[in-house]
Amino acid sequence: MKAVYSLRKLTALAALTTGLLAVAACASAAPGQVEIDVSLQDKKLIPGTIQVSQDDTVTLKVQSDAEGSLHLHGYDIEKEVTPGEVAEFVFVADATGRYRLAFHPASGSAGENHHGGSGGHHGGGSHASVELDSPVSVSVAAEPDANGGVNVHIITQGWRWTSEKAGGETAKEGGHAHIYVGDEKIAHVYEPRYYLEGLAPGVHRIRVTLNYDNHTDLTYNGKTIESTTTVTIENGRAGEGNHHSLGNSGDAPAEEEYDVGYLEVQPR
Amino acid sequence: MFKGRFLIVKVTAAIAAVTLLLLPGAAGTAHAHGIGDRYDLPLPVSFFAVGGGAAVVVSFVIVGLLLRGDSRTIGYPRFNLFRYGWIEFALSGPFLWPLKILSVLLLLLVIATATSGSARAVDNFSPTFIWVIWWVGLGFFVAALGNLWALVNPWKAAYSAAESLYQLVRPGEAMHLGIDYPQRWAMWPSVILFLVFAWIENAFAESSNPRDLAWMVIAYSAITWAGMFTFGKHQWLRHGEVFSAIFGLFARFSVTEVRVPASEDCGECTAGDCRNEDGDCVDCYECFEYADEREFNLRPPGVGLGNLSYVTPSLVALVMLLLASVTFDGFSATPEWIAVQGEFITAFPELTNKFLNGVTIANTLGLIAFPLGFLALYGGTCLLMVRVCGGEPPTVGMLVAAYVFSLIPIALAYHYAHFLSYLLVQGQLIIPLASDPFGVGWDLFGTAEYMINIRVTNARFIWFFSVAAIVIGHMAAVYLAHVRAMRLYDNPAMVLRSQFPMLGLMVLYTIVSLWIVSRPITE
Repeated sequence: MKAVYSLRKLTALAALTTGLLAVAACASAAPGQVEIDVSLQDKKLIPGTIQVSQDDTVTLKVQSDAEGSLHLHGYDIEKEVTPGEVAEFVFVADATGRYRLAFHPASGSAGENHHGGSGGHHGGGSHASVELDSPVSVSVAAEPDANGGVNVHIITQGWRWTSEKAGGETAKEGGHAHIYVGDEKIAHVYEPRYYLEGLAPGVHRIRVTLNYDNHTDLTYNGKTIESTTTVTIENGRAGEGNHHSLGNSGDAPAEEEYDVGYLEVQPR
Repeated sequence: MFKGRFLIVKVTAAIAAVTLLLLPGAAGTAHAHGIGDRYDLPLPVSFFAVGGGAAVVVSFVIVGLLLRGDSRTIGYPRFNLFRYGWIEFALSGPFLWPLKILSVLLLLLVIATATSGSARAVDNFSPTFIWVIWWVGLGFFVAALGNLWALVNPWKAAYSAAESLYQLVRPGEAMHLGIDYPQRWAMWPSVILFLVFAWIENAFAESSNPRDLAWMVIAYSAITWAGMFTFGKHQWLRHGEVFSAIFGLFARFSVTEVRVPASEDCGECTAGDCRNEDGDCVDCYECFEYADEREFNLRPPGVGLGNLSYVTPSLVALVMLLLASVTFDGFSATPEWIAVQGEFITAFPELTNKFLNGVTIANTLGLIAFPLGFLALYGGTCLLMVRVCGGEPPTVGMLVAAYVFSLIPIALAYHYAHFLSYLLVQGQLIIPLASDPFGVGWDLFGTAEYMINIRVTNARFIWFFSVAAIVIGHMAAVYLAHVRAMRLYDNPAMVLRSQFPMLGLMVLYTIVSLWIVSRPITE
């Protein structure tokens, strides 16, 4: 059968092509020590992409203009950064790939403006913040109940809750809220009440921000519209929590984060 | 009576439409399509150049090799695995049942975790299982080895089990309304459902939100079972169960096939005539289910796409949609497309609904424009083929139908190149999730604390694999198109001439695929 014969030739051709590619793919050089200075300015890393070669021992020296933590995904190394100090990331770049560096601003002091920078939330496009024309305020109250859950009440002024089901006629002073526990965003809510479950025993900081439906943060007079409170859980169920997050750390990564750059580890 | 039936059809359609439209918005956090980060390094320029060059060269080599081919000997070697009794025994009845039960249980687990498990995508079994393990992983398996989906499809398995029970209660009666499937619908229900699926995968920002997935899976289950109940199981599997259709297309590339040699065994087939142009019944799982004499063959990869039976416009539409959505999936993560999305976000700042915002508008337009662009290019190529052959028949329409499967290997190869590292790295998430599917702190198998190992792959291996897959896919496509041309034209000169426009299209498609793999992924 002629076609069978041709198939054999084709298979040989495929093997030849792969062989040639394999030869073309070979290269080598000895790994070494690499020291790289980078700066974190306005939630962007300079340079934006750090390139190293596989198996290099990398010392990344970071100078930051803002306080927070810098997280190297994949390798899962997180370091605190403080203006005026140099944070050092030391690791052996044994895994090739392109790894995201994310900045988590230090939060805690209420009313501090983390937003409005040029940084964007990861997950499709950059979201600038939107400045409101009229004053909008929010305050949050949190009451634990007997089952280890927390009733969260979000009290707003000058604000209209818009459900997504309502359609596209969102006014500027309308949208939804994000609820954070610690630094981790745990919910988008479309009404003033939310029931929070699964908190471990201890003290938790609960922060609420008001947002557009595309999750743009809202500001008034340059300040993010947000409110923070704390809640104490007496008797949570042990072992609860987020123990495998994005394959990264044992802790849940903060949802409030900015993509600041990438580390590219090229193969040898 | 007739009116009553029509009403049932209308009601079923209305329920289907309403369930799809009412996918409600539940609160939760999730990101764009996919779960977790992608760590792929873009393909370096040298690999891109070598791959592109290789594609062009092998195109001409294949044409040269096949030039003297004899159009009457278009067959492929087969080896019937059922000649070993134990393989036939293993693949029928008792050994298949545990797999089917497992599959139905997994469907139930997906629904249970999606509705009531953790609202965080990475702590919930359903997003990783649906997008990484089932859609990408099972797709890889089916395209490489064979149509596992036809064996374990949980909707089919559950419905078959219900039918068996019904037979016990009312022997001899079929468990469906017995309404004739309207032939003019053809595979359009699958086309529409795939469009919805592709939209969810590529445009809907909450596609890995467990609560949203819950509604989708429930709605799809309802549609599938309603379709089976209205028209009969096999009619719906053939026309409306979109994943049977899509995995069926993937499986045509695979190294195994099911075949029913005796033509009288196809008498009951709901396809009417499932036999291909050589009179063979290949990859028809309905006939395979009932036939006395059955073959389960090994075959060379790709050749199954050369089997052609009656091609409807809806099938052409489905293939175009598949090709385009596979390509768009990667393209939508390139920096170039992210810039386009940025324009739309700026243009529609007031649209902030999760179903309707700048990003979804951009991606929805992309998802509409890409298949139309593909169809235009493909149709244009077929038109050119008619022109270069002097306007002789076959006509453009006949060519569009004849070559419809030959571009699939390029799309599949690209699909592998784009998703291999994602499957190998993010697929590991299923290990901790298996122990704690609801994300509530269980540790069923002692693997709940498993951390993803990012060192399972290496960029050089992935690049090498990607380029090799794309070039080999390209070779398979060129081969399939050429064999098809040998069937269409008696004159070898005509065969050769007709192939130049098709070669041009295939080289273009391959280079575009390589280009996308060479762009950094921005998700």
